[in-house]
Amino acid sequence: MRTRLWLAFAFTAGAFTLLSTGCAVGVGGGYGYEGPGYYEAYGPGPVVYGGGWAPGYRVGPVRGGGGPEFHGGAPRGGGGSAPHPVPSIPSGPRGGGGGHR
Amino acid sequence: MTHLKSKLLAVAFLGVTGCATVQAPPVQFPAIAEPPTQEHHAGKVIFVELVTPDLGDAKRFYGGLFGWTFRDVQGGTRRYATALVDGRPVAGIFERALPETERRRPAWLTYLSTRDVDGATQLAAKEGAKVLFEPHNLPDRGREAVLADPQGAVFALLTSSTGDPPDVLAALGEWIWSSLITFDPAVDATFYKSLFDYEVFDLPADRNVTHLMLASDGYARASANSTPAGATGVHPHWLNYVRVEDAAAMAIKVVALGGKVLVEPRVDRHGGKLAVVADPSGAVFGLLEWTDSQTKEVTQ
Repeated sequence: MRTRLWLAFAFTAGAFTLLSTGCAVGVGGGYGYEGPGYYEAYGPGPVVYGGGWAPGYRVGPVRGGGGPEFHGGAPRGGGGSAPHPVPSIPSGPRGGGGGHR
Repeated sequence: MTHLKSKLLAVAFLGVTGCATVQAPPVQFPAIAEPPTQEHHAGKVIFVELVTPDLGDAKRFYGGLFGWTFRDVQGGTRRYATALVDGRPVAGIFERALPETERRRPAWLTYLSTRDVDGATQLAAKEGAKVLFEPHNLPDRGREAVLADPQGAVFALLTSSTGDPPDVLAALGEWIWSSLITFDPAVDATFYKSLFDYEVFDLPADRNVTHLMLASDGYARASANSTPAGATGVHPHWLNYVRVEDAAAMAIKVVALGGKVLVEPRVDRHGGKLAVVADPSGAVFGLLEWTDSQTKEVTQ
């Protein structure tokens, strides 16, 4: 009887220790904790782009001073702000502050 | 005798679980800005972090591809390394075993800057995001949280304790651009605008696709794009691009180092080429050419 109590106590305490350190905690959507204080960023599945992107499919930034298509477009939900060119990425040199919007 | 064995077994079990707790302190994640800047740029992608099953393999791949060097960070049984370009942190790489039974893949996690992680997390949840990891402090890094936006793309919020990297042109081998690939870019743009007060620009695009530009502080920070046609099974995700001199040459190098090319090098909005690739473990990232020349015009 005492042995059973010992075993029950030990396994309960052990299981509690494991769970409390986050070793077995899972959180939503295929993602979860990796342990105390860190998040595991594994994605839920492979990325497949189905043979690539169509020629007109574009994701990149514009260049400042680019073509007229990038000028005069008021931002969505701009609250009446004046139309202005689509900004580009920072292009200033390191140590010299940002530049070229 | 049986009693003695049972007691020894029980004590051993307690000892093992207790030791596991004591001997595996969490990694002390390093600061992202060295030297400190004390700048804050809401909505800017300020860091990316890879979780991968083999740190050594990742070092060989990314070191061979971009010339990154690495600084190991000790953390008990955990293995973590900061990737550096010219001594500046550009990424973190965290090792974790990926059991074959798990249907998951290594991925780069995108960190967006905010001054108020807690407030932004609350607002995001109210706007339909799922909080995957509640706001918490990391001693040297700052305060962060991890979320999935309303369409499922995972990202992190970070208030960096040493400030954000400055708004300067990314050097070769540094991250230069980010795209959110998602089912409905307009819905996500509204969501991220609520968090970061982005300006959102609608760029000309082919029929049935949307290309939105998210800007803050007068700089383009990221794009929000429709999921490309034919990309069945692709879930919404953030995709980050490293600046390279020659995307075609780098794509060849990716394959030579054991990676894959998912989108062949092609000319994009900015007039240079970009490609999408995966490292040997399957983590996806982009390559983007960007010349210093300001005379290069946008091509279609």
